[in-house]
Amino acid sequence: MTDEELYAELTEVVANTDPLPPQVLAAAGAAGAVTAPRGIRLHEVDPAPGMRGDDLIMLSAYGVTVRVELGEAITGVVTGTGGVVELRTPDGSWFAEIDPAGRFTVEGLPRGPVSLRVHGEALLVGEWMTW
Amino acid sequence: MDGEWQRLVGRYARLVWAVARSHRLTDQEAADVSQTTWLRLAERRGELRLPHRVQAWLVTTARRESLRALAARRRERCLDLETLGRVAHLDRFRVPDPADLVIQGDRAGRLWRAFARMPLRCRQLLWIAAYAPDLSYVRVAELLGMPVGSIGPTRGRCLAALRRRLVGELGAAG
Repeated sequence: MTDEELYAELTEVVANTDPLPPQVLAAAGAAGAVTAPRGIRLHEVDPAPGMRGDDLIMLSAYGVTVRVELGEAITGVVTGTGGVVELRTPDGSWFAEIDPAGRFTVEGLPRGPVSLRVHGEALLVGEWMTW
Repeated sequence: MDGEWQRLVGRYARLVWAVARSHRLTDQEAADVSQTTWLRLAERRGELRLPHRVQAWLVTTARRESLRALAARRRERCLDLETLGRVAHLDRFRVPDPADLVIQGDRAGRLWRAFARMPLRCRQLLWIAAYAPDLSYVRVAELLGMPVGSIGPTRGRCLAALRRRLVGELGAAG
């Protein structure tokens, strides 16, 4: 048996043993209904050196920065604007006021895709990410 | 739902799934990574016109999100027991062992078990390539963080190792 024959057989076994679940395919199809948001893009930037990267996400746009900490709840600090933070999921949105110190906390957010948005002087929209 | 989107999903959904699974994510984690990846693409549809760019972008995004999912799992492991009660699926804490899966067919089962016991690097390389035969070595190298020149030789070594393990499986089966 040649390498290519073995490889072809492995390909078939992998495809049969770990098939794409139908609900995963359906969710990918349904994502096509999502359109580009009208707001300003919040871009992910690298946290400052020395900060732990795994649990910390930094988003930035036009002088506004959002520092998001992922833990048991989602907490964060917004600088450069006040207003309301929205955490959008495929199943609905969770909202939190930005307090005078710039902090916000969201509890009970389900696992899965989430997009952070800031409703302040302008609408700022973060990329979808897995939490 | 438009035809263009459906074609994209039809062509690449398995690839995105394979990237996530090759990081040893659970079904649920891989499903989350897949959905995030497609939602991101939906919001960027106007920016990615060329088909090969879409493929590259999907692979890169799925990989990044897979690493995020692994970080989330590490975080959850650190939570105390009181919190664990609120986590719906304790399965999330168990890295699935494909060898647990029930498989039809004796030879297929032996091949899968041999494959499941391979080092992670080999599994990733062969798994990704199995789902996406048209993925270029450049993209595979990027995905696995390996030099492009080493992909071909590594693939050869991995297949040779798989063949040896398969022979071992056959021997074990008597």
